[in-house]
Amino acid sequence: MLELTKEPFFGFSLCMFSYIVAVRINQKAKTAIANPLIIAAAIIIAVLGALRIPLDHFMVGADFVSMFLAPATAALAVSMYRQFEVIKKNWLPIVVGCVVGAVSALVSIFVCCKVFGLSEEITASLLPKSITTAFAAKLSEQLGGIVPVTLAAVLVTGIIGALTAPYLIKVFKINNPIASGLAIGAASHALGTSKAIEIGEIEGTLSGIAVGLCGLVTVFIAIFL
Amino acid sequence: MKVFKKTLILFVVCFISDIIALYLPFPFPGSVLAMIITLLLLLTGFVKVRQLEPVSDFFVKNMAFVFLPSTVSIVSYLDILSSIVWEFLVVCIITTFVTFFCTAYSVKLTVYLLNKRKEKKENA
Repeated sequence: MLELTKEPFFGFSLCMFSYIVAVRINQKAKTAIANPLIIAAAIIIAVLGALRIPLDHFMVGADFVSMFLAPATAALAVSMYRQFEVIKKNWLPIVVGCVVGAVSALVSIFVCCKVFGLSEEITASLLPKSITTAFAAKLSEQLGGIVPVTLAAVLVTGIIGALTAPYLIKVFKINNPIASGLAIGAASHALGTSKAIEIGEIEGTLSGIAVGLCGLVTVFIAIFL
Repeated sequence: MKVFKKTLILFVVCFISDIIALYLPFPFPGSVLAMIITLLLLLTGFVKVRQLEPVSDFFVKNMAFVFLPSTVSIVSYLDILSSIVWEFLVVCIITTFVTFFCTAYSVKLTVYLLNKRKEKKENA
């Protein structure tokens, strides 16, 4: 019986099933913590654990799912292209914000990891955590980090950003929607952007732009790391 | 057939990007290169947005799906993660706030300086 789970359709179907359930739950819950990725992963881990199915059996089919990462990342270009007029109109604040955002994220993560005495492997896993998952996973691989740890850090960062963004805007007295939008995107990628869209249209658009550009800036900086 | 064609464009771009990434003199993620190339194709007009949407939107909207396998693999690293769980959380919280603060203030300053220059021009 257990051997049957080595069929690629098992892992793929389990991914699809748990994702559908997770998105339903997320639509009902409407909070950043009820993240579809966390819920779906929890369902899969629970199913594998309960039926004592080895992770490698699941991975036979799941590897096909991972293959779609590249086209999904390429598709992000369409979202960026749609914002091109906004980028052109506000190019200077956007470029400044995204470069400062990417650099401050990398420096603060590096310093924090050193202060807490975290290993090089963990530091490499955490460095890409402020950028969108698609970029972060590949960058972590490139820097010699542990990709699943990076994904966990990206998720946690995004959730922190989404939950605290409205308060951060108040506490830091950010009265400019361009500034708050870019800050949300730079600090907490796509998850923060979902919150930024709720705050306002300009905030949402600029947060989305910051996600793409900060990711690119970070990847380019990483060439020299 | 339309969905096929749109998906094919994205797949071919990914294939070409992976090849280019292999030959680059420095490490660069092939998927990010695929995004840059797609953006260039759109900006130069070689590919029109309507040739990619709504397939592209489907991919972007369901990005979380492609990360399921890697997220599930976290079970293999639970012992590493549980030994640093506090450091991990504190690093995430501090750096998110620091990044937010630095970005917001740099943009605020830039907008302020731009407005000041504009006023000067208008007054002159």
